[in-house]
Amino acid sequence: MRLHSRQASNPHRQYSAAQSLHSSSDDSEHKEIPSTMGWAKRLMRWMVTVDQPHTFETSLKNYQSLAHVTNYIFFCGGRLRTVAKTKYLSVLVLVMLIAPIVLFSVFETGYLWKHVAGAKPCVVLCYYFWTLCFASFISTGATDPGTLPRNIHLAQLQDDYKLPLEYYSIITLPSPVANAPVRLKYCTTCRIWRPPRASHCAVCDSCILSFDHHCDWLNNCIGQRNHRYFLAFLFSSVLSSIWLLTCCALKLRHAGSPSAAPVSLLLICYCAVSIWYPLLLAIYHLFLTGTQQTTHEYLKAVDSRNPIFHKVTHPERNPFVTGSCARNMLLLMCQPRGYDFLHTRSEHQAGDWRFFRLPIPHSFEKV
Amino acid sequence: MPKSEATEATGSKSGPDLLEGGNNPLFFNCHEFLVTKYRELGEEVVREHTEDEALCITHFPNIYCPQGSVEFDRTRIVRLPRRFEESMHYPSFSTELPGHEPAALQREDEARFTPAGFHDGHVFGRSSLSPLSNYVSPEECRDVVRAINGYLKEAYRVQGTQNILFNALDVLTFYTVSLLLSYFRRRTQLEQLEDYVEEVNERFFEKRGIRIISPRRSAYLSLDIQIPRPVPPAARS
Repeated sequence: MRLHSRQASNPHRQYSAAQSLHSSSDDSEHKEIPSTMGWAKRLMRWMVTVDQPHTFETSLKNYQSLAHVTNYIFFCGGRLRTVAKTKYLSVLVLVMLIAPIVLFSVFETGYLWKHVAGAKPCVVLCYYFWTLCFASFISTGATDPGTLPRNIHLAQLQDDYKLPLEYYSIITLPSPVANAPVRLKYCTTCRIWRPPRASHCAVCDSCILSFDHHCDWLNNCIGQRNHRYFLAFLFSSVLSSIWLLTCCALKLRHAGSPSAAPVSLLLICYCAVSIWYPLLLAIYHLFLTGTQQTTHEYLKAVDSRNPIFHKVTHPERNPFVTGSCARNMLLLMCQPRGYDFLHTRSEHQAGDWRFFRLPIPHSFEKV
Repeated sequence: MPKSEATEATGSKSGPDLLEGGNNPLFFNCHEFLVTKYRELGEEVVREHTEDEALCITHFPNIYCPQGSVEFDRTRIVRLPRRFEESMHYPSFSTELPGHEPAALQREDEARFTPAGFHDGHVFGRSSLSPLSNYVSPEECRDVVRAINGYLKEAYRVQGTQNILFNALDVLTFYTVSLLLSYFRRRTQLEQLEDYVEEVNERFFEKRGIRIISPRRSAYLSLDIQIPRPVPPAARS
């Protein structure tokens, strides 16, 4: 009886992304726009894609729909991304990256290259590591961390896609390591059985493969697909600071007095301060990868939000662990990036389940 | 009743954490769930059943088609879950046909899917045996999934010298190597996996009306197989 009545009242419940999310606020605004909208508007849409409906689009690109179901903002037709509703600290980091190299290029490079003997390799190394640091910054902050599609493991349609009780419990499955079983959880928002290590990031509002942490400074998650970029960013920022400091020290020594080279002094101070945070994080990540844990797992284990003041220990019952520290490190640092499951620039048909935000399940009716 | 098949099979009573009993957990298909309130075959009303008579939900809506489409109504998905005994570091799927896992709910003398009741508008049986077993034999399933796992293992292998050298080179050249390679490289392992799935579908499965969904489409979260919507015995005759 219940089945019948439900089917009669709600035969085809279509959750189109535009309707389900923004029907009330934005519909009136966009209804009149014809399918051939101006090129300027189209360009703007291509440049920056934020969470707003595209009811007039004929073809649906993945990034346009992904902007609805997650908190991502896309730039340049889905090529670059960042996360909305945050403090946008990545802009600050970008300025902090660019400012010293601009000062260095304007005031130091020419002098060092012409007048200081033996400074040329230092200058080259400084620029090399800075470029690496910048490339890693863009790759970490603006590319896919390993976003998982939604609704792959939809259980049933009835009662507003109600979840069975089994899906609320953590299940335990055998693993290759004795006495360290795998624990799997169903993500009630994304409606998937998360693979081990994947976790739902509340800031991005999506599940991330091999979730390490959500980096506020880069404004993106660190996951399977950008973990290596992140580590490269940490190490290269330390190295570029060291070489910048060396260059400026050489200039200062050659110039004779600080008043003759005030910018060098400024840059030395800047590097001496800014090197510490990435250096600490880099060391900390060496320990974590050596014990085969992600930041997320570690913070859960020590039950804290601040990682720095705890000793890194081997976690109990870690099914990922291997015998050697080097192999542990390698397995995390060199993990293959794998396939981009929600390739931003691909197209998808209308009504694709991966881009729906289903109602948050109301559970435990029976209990 | 938050219970899993594993708890039932190993006989421990409390919670999903089986370590407390000292025994290791058994593998089962985490996608399955039990329903006690359903309409039995031949009956007209939905009513509560005992746990022994619970329906085991083994096939799911075909989320690879838009809701309301003909294909969505006519097909269902059987999921082969991920399995971890071999390694945690690359994805691999369960090679057992659903219903043959160590901790599956099994009924004696049942070789084929036997419908028992309606739930969510579809027919289900009382054991973990899915309607997929009407189309594929356990041996065939094992062979196909093993081949798929082989590709995944190769693609996600960390410790190959090739992968490590490539990583180092990639970082040192500001990630231009991977960019260039993506234009010139022959088909990768993951693309070959897609080709293999396509081939299996064309040569064997499509004749029987079933199809393996591209594992890339399901993000390697599970290996999904599309089957025709199972029909109750009365409608068949």
